[in-house]
Amino acid sequence: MNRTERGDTLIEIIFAIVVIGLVVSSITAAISTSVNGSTAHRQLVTGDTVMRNYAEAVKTAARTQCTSSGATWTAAYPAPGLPLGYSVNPLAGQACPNVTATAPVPIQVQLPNGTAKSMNIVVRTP
Amino acid sequence: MTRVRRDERGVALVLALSFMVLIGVVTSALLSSLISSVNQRGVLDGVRNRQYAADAAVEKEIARVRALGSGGAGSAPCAPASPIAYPLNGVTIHVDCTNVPTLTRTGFEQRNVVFTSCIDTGAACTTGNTIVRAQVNYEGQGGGTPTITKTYIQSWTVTR
Repeated sequence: MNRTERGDTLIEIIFAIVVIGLVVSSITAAISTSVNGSTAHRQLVTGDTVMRNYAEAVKTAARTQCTSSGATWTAAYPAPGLPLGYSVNPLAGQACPNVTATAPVPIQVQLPNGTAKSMNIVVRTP
Repeated sequence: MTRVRRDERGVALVLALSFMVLIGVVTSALLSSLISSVNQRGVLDGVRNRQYAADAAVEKEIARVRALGSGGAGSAPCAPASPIAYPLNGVTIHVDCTNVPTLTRTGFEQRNVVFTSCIDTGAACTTGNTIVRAQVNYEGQGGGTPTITKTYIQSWTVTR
């Protein structure tokens, strides 16, 4: 080895280790953020589907069960049921509105990460 | 071992910095894509809320028009309160209703009404901004001003 090159190898190795460490850290952080974001996004998309399914089930329940004055309607989430970790607000024994009126119904969906999404719809006695 | 020539000094640093910049660009693109998709999710939530608000507004109009005393093909189906704006889910929905030609026979009154709903701008809904369009048949019995006995949804279209 040439005398003028003494120490270069050690510095290069240390520098390379630092660079590799930074790059690995960056990639790990990016992948972690991406995975977390993707999970949150998937939950939001599934939550939207759950909310639409439940809203349609509620409207159908009122339309099919409100056949006489004084009747009540009860909605259930349609088969095959809620995805694991999701929940909706129960709607049982709800009074049917008069045929010339509507009734507001709040729809709430709880996501697995604890986030709650809500929307309002109305139901009508046919 | 290959000897490093004096004029190659610093090349490793340039390569390392270039690689880090490349990683930075890729990471930024990834995060940007993620943020964009989450924001788009919010936009789609807004679309869903708007559709159900329009759906609710038309349902309210159907019930309100059913309560009106006017009947028959020639009557004004939305009088006296139309057009009406209904706020729900953070948006205000405007509903127009118009009569459509209906065959009427004595003792068996028919009334067909088309409802169109859109975001309230103070003007009538157009084909370009209609969210829900529904055609409803009101059936009643009795001459003159019949009592509505049945309501049939003949069509229900969500356009946007």
